[in-house]
Amino acid sequence: MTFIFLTIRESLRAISHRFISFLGSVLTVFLATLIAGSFAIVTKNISASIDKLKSEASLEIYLESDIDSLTREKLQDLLVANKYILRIKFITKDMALYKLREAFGPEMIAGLKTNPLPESYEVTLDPSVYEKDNFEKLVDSLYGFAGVEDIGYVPTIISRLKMIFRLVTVLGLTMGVLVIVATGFIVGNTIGVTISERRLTFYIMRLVGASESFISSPYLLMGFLISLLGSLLSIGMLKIGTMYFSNHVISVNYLSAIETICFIVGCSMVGLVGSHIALRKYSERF
Amino acid sequence: MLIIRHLKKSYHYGSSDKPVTPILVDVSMELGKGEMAFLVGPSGVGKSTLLKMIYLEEKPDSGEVILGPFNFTHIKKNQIPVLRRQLGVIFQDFKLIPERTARENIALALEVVGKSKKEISSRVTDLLRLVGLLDRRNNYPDQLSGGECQRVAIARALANEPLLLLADEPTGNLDHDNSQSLLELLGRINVRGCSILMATHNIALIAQMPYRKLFLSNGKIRENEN
Repeated sequence: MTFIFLTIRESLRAISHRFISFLGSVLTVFLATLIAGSFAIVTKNISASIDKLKSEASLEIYLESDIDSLTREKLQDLLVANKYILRIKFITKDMALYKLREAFGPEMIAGLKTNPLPESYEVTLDPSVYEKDNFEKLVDSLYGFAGVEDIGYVPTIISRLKMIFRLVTVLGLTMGVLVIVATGFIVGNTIGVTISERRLTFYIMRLVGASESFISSPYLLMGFLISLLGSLLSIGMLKIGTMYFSNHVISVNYLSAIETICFIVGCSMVGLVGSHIALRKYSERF
Repeated sequence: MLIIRHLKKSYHYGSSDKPVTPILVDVSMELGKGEMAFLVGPSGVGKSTLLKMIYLEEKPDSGEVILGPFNFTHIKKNQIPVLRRQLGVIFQDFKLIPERTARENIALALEVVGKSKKEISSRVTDLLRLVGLLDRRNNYPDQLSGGECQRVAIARALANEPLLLLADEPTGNLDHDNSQSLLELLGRINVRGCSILMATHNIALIAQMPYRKLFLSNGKIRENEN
């Protein structure tokens, strides 16, 4: 009879022998991987939000009302030469007023006798400006340029998101390590108990000349199945959760196909390693 | 075929710096191909220890065990399963897997060596016929008597046509009639060419049997002792 057939048969025999324990392990792995998967999705979405904000990042450089054309041209040259600035667009007072009316309606400017809005430059930034403290340095340097009255920007959202991202990443990595250890431990423990209960079968198999790979492969398969089923359940649950969240609350990115495969394969490998360690630990006793 | 030379074995009880208890002091013996012998001695004298060293469950402190082409002194770990396929072992407590039928218990020994389904089916039927349990093939061990369980264990031990059948107190859990019946079965198996070494403390049971008797006492073997 083929090795694979016998491995599957013996594995199913071991699972049916301790089905409740097997089911409990699958559910525990499911919960552990569900937490890890949730962190992965949250991290991914925060990262995506930061990237989106970075790509849309811009500044408004408001010019002094009495700026002369020479100073403005010098300022323009300085802005164009800056490595963190991708594009600049000069906004006249009329254009600024038009934009305000477009944004808030004609009532907003109905009472104005003169146009109070300053000339400005709309500056599109390179995303690398958000690395380290480049952004703060850029803003500080722009304030030092002649003709600059004020600068409008929204750095706080990005810096807060970056802080949350760092926090979630650290938490996610910590959870990831804990989940790896927990999954390995849960699977290993289940395999260990199963082996302990089937020590007579182990002993007889050795006595009749079974190789170690023949004896251990059904239990490796069992450990693999526990973590595979657990991770498949959590991936399914995460998919349903993100779909529900996207439909009812806010659009959320799910894991990509590659990330999903890596998640399932990674979890399954952890189960395989856990059962291998358990086999080494327990099987030598019998 | 089986050669044992100057085998020594001691046990440490508790920590390794405690005094050792010698079990086998200097055991030497030979068993020819197709020969049957009884290893006789009171309980605790080291009969099971000697058998365990033959089926490689324990290692001797020194000495040599040679079975056919295998010298156990130099055997590698991955060769142990190959060697065990040359041996059949039966025990006092049968060691049958309770959740498998008689047929499945015997088939296990053939499955592990990679026999085909057809070969397994045919060989298991032959073995069940040999031990007289063909009609009980689908019974689980707890549905069989002690004598029947021991017959299933013998059938499993013979599955791979071993060079040597080791029997460790196989009649220990059987009544007199079943013990006699088992010895007759072992005799028939021996006639087919399988060497047999059976450990027993029951001298009365084997006294009239026409086979060699090896007496183990004080860690040494003496033959045909009164």
